[in-house]
Amino acid sequence: MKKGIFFIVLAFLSAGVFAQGEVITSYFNKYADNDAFTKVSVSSKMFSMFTEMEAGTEAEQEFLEAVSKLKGLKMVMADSIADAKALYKKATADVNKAGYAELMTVADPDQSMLFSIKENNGIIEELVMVVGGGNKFVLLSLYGEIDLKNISRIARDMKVQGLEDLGRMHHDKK
Amino acid sequence: MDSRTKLLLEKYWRAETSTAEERLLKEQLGTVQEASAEANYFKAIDRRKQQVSEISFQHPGKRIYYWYVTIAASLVIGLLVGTGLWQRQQSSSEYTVHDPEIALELTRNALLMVSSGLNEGKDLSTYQLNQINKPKEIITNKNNSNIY
Repeated sequence: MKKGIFFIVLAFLSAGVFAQGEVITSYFNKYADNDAFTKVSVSSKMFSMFTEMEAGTEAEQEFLEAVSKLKGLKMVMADSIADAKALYKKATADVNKAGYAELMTVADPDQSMLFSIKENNGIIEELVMVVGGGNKFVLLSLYGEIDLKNISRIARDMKVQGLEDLGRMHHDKK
Repeated sequence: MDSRTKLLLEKYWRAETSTAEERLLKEQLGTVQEASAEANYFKAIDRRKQQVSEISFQHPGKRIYYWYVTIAASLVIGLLVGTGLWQRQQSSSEYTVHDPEIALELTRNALLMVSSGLNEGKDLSTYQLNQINKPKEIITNKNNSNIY
């Protein structure tokens, strides 16, 4: 009996481990063969390499600081799909179902955004962003130790509209 | 009761007898005819020992320990966890960027996207707050103009 309880607890624990990046991983699998979707994964090893870099400017410093505590980045995106809005709805539903806490939503006729987080002891362990509208769709998951203040400062420092880089990012991949 | 038994008894009450000595004591006092307190005590113990339960228990039958089921179950669990982990690894590693420069650029863009998204939300909410304050402003202005 005790053994049984132990295994059940173990199963739940392992489910917790799997839950990290659960939604994004399922989207990776879902669109594995669909070339309309660009899939990107940056490993924790790569992030540890970033931390060894020298920062030139203050903005760069801010960026490296935000990055230093990250452990992974995964993205699924598309910029030429027909039903971005429907996909956005589906993705937000999936994110909510997976037990993420909603941080912020921006509902706009052109483009909607959802930010959700997974927290543990007051530390944000995963940040999921879903963007959808027009024919653009982005599902992004950041994990590690996430400092929202730090991240939100990045754009202010660089004074660039991040979403404009979406197209560039698409070409950079290959 | 002979002196040896008495000695043994004394030892018994001091709890110093060995198991063999106790057995001997029980045998001697159990068969003795005299109705001393000690003899009765040991006879009572003897009777208690021979007591048989009035309720009879039936053996549930041959108990088979399915050890192979345990092994099979652990194999299945191990296999499931293993494939799960492998698949996870596989699905991610397929898209992992190996060039540090590209990875950095991607991360920068991704963070910028998140960052500006977060800021846009913030700006929007302050904008909306200002909108909420507008009617109040209009009303207060009107009141002011009414006064003057």
